[in-house]
Amino acid sequence: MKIKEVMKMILSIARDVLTAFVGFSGGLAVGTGFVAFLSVIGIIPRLTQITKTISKLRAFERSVLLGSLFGCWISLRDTVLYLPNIFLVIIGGISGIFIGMLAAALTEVLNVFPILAKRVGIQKKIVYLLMAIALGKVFGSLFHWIYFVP
Amino acid sequence: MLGSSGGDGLKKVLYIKLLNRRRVVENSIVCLGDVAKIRGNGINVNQLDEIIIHQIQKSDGSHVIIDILDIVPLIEEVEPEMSIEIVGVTMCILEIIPLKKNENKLFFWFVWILLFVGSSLAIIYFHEDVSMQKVQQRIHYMITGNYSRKPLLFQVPYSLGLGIGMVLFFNHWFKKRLNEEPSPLEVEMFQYQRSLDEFMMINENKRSDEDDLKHRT
Repeated sequence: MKIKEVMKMILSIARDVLTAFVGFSGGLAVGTGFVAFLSVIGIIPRLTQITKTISKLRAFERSVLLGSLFGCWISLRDTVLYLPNIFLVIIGGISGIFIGMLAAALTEVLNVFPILAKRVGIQKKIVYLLMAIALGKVFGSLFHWIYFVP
Repeated sequence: MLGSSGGDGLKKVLYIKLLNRRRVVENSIVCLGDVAKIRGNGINVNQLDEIIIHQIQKSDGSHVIIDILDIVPLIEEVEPEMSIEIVGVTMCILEIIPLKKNENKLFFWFVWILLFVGSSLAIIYFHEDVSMQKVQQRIHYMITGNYSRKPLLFQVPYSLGLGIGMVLFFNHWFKKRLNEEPSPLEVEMFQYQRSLDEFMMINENKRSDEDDLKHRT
């Protein structure tokens, strides 16, 4: 009887260890993929270039790391912060800027433009085409949230 | 390299640097001064600048490639007693601009609307693809503690931020630049142009090689 219980315990420990191992390796893969994605997309260099804060690159690295860990935690747990509504506006705006930079940085956008400008032959007016894309994104997004979703 | 340390040591040396690319108007005459920078001592540089290199014709198409080896004999005709030092690239691309501009307003606006509608649709696809509505409902709940079916208070600032982020990245707000550095788009345009130039140069080489072969056989 006792041996059976010990066997059961060992088995359950082994199962837990295996689960933890699978979870850990999954996290490792996703984490490396996420960092690789961020580096390829080149948002951080662009931001440091605009704000002239290249010397603080390490701090930004940590910020991304802590941010992903924070996102991990609150999306996997049921944390509720009970903050006033103004935080919605601030966080919404900030996440919009980030996604906007992401959309702009996606290499498809960058690779399409030079070719488009050449084909159409309007290299001087390329800024207006840029604006078409940016405004189109804003319009599409507002349209989606206000009218499109049921 | 061509300069020999001959007798008097006062041999005339001409330094010539070809420009990478140059835009010229249709039917114009291209002089040496248009495609190259020339320096040298004891040489009449102005006279050399006037040497006619090419007359643009209809058959040239949109681009002409000037090779340094085509230029050297022309210089030697004017100034035979001199060694030529070549600095920089060996080919110059002439981009021919048509006299009458066929810029079509309608065409431009078509592209503008195409991009506008296309990018709106693309962002809707993206939002649906990553189930953003659900995530934002959850974020709304996490922050405030109450559920909202349409968390517009989060979503409208998000949408505006989307535009700001794109403008920040491209460093442009219509004609106004946000700072002096080149934007990623300009760098990308430059790189694309350079690849095109390189392609043209190599293809031009191939073509002249084929011509040589034909002449020999």
